[in-house]
Amino acid sequence: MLAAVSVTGRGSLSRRLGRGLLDTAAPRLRMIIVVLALGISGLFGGWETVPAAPEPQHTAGTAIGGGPWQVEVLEAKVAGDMPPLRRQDENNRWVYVIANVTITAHESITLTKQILRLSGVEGLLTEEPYDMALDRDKRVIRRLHPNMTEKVVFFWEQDGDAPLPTSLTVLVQARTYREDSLSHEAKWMDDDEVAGRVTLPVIDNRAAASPSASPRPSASVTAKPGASPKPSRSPRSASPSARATP
Amino acid sequence: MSLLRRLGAALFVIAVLAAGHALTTALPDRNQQLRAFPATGEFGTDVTAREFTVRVGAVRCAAELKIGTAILTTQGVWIVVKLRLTARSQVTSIQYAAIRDAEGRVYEVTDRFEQTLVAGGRRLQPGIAVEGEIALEVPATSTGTLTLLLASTFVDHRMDSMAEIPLPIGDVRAALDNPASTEVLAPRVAK
Repeated sequence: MLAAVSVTGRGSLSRRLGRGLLDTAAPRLRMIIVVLALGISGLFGGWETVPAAPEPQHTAGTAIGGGPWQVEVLEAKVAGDMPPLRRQDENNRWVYVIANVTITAHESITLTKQILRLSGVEGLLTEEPYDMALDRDKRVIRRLHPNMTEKVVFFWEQDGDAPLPTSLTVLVQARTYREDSLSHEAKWMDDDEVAGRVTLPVIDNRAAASPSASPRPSASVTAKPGASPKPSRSPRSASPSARATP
Repeated sequence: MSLLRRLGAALFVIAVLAAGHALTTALPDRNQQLRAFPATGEFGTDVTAREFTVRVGAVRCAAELKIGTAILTTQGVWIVVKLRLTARSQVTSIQYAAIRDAEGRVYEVTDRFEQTLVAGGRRLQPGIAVEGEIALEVPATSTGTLTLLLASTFVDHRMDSMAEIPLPIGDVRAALDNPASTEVLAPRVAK
């Protein structure tokens, strides 16, 4: 008898409860308990349909939802010098991806460099994009706003000795809105999941000589605030961002 | 133990579990419990938060901004808000500015150009008011009351105060009828 009892005594207690509730009950009571359990499970969502797993491979232009963002990967290119971005070595090149990004969360997202990763490209100096810019005005940005879709260019620097990619796979990262196990706050958490993949041919844009060739982030004017005082009805201009050269 | 009694005991356990579930879902969740304390005030009046006082002096909408020689367009509408900020008892800075729309969506201040007044760069000295303008983008479809949010904390606003000031803006789309760009007043010590 003693051998069947656990050291903590929990086994004995659970056995007694089990016997009390089920083993000694009539078959009809068991059935009632099962029906009640299923009913309660339904009340708390146990009968809801499990959403189908998302298809990981997509074609260019397909909207891929990654939780707080939705991404349409459009095209991938390679270029040489793209001022004001600075390469670590002049032989290095820029691999960049153009995508439409929509913030679907209810608030602005600042860590937007975490949206995309590349696969199938050798010699990238960083896993996450070196920088990103708005296609609208070629300004380097970090923050995007809810329900305001923007065409964004993501830049990676590639070692010049690495082979030139002819195709690459863009991984759209996913975030899950769930409770943080430490703080118990609900927030968008990085569970290292991929919402979808898009494989693209890489367009070699290194020969483009025109400085206005898109996408090309323009150097931001860095006039200091207050440098050009004006009459009171004509306010002084604030300074544009100069974050293109971290 | 009779069958009826056992059934009653089981139902009692289920009822307790259901009551517990209802209680936990009815109570504020962790995010609600730790949310910032709103310091609400009216447009044109001083609103006092824990570390600073703010007064919104003007607000206007625009289709384009003129920052230096650059023209910044938007797919929505620019909201330009004139602020007068004063630190209360110690040096501080404003590190968070946003607009909340009627549906609860929050649009933080744009980072497309440098905005030191609300991006932590401008240190506020106690008793010395600084005024300037900030610019934020909202969708042209935004309707209802837009509320300005300001805090001295950058990301973690838990259990701290946040100024909340409703902005007297009617139809933001009206700004799109006027294509003229507008400048943004840089921070300066208020007279």
